[in-house]
Amino acid sequence: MEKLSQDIKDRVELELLSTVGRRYRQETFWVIFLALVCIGGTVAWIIQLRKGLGVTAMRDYVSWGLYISLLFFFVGVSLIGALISSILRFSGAKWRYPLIRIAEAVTLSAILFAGFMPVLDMGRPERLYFLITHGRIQSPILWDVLAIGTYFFGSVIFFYLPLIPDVAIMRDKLTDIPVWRKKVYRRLAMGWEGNPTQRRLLKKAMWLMSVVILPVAVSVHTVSAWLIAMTLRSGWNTSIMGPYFVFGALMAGCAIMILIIAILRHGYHLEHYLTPTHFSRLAACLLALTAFYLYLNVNKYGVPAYKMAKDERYLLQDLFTGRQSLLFWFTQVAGLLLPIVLLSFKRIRESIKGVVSVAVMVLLGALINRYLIVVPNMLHPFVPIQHAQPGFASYNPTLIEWMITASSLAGFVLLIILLFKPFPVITMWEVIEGVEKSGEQAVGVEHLSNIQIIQGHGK
Amino acid sequence: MANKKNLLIALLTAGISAMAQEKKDGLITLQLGANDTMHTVTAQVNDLATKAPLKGVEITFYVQRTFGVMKVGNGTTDTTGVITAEFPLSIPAGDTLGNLIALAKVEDNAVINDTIFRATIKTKLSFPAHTPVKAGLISSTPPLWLQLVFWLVVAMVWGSFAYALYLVYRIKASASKKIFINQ
Repeated sequence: MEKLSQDIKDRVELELLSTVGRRYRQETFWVIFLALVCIGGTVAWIIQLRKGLGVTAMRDYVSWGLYISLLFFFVGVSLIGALISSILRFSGAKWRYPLIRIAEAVTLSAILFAGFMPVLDMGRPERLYFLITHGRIQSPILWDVLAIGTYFFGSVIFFYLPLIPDVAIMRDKLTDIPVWRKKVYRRLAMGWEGNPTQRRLLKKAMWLMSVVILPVAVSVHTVSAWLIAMTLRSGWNTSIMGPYFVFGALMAGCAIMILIIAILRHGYHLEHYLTPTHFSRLAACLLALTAFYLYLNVNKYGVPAYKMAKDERYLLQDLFTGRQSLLFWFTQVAGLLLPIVLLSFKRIRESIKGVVSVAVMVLLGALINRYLIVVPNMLHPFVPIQHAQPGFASYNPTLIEWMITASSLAGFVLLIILLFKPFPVITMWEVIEGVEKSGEQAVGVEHLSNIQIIQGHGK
Repeated sequence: MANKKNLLIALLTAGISAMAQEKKDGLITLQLGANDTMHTVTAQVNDLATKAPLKGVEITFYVQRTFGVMKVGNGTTDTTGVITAEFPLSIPAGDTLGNLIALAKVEDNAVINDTIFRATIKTKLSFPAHTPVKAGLISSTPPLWLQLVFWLVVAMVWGSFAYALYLVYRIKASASKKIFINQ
């Protein structure tokens, strides 16, 4: 492939840098709105801390409610970083280049809030300290906390590594920014000049992290699954939970990735870089993952339903025809079956609106499915809980819980937006390098030589 | 039995008035004992007012555990107002000093009002047991292989992170010139 001319490279960099630090009206509105939701959730959490978990609907039966359901959702979504940065890297998919930073930002934000959720679930969060001082290494809770912490730290490194050459570009090209930001960029750029030694070292570090992050990511999801699978409860007492969580996570991560790149493409005018090719490729991934997840669901629910063993019966009846049936069948039909049918049509896979609509369905199904994994199973213990009041045998989240849950989701989105304020959305150097090596088509970008510069920094 | 030892431990009354006026308040005398293999618990039910034995009172026996009670038997009193139940000597109940609490509970009975009586007995078995549990994944002490695998995996992953950061440091070290920022 031919090298891009310096003029085109400069234009690409200028266009991608134009989003850095720039204010968009819609974005500002959403930042304020999400921040207000976060403040509301913080107030609710303070009330919960002052008055205790009695202000929630969690009682003897359901001791893990919305908070832990959301933990599993965030843990799931965070797998997208490993999918894009590691799995697609080793599969040689060049179209991943424009998606890498977005995927890592989603991962970073998701795993950070995943770490918060167990703290929110604790009536006495300061007791988390005892997990460090008195932790038992044979406990899945300790494994989970350690795995989430490790994955977070690894994701920070993985977010940072491809950022180094881009920060160097920002250091050199963003001339009209405050001095403190220049200093920050200078420090983060680590003296990057792009010489062969630096390139070799960076590639080596990125390769190493790609290798390490994959087992770490899989272990985070598997260990989260073990949190429940190693508990003797109907619905949880199954060996399928590990892969069930991992593939559910890949599916949810893929769906949220589609949604977020659609928002960024529209909001930041990145039509040249986030093209129908990316949506189509991600849609193909989503189709495969959704189909496989449906297969896992058939195993998870179908096999025990065939036997209808005494202990499982009440749970399954609750899911199939009882109180939870509406949610259950929504996740199975609207969240899995219908997306598979829709994504089977090439016309829908190649339509951005079609792919985004399907991704919303899958994501909603995945979110509800996390609730169904946690709550109905807790309502049907093997041994009935003694002396529990009749009201304890159902779970209707309180306003406090909804507010904290909503603020966690808002915080997750807000952090992604904020991560793209000081840094470009697209990894500039990798896209340019990818186009030079493999061509625009392979990377999935369009018309780089005809870019119309959007008002930005620089000349 | 030679080693049979009966103890009369406690008498408590808890007169919970019932809806029906014709119901009586009962007095239950609990007698706990043991033979070679079993604990025995005998309840004598009398009318609290007249002290006459009460027939047909259904009693459920429990032993107190850490967070609740465990049912060990039930039955109905005979003409002498007596009912007896047995449960194993090795029952996992009681405290570290070997004190086991037995309960006799009357609920929704036509003869007497709802009531609970309890008695404490010193058993030969302390619970939780003082003898250390064999190491295993669910025990209080993790097996050596688990500790080794756990820390090896943690060290490998964090060691890789540290190496990646070292490579970043080398990137900085391999810069040929210092970069200054124009004010």
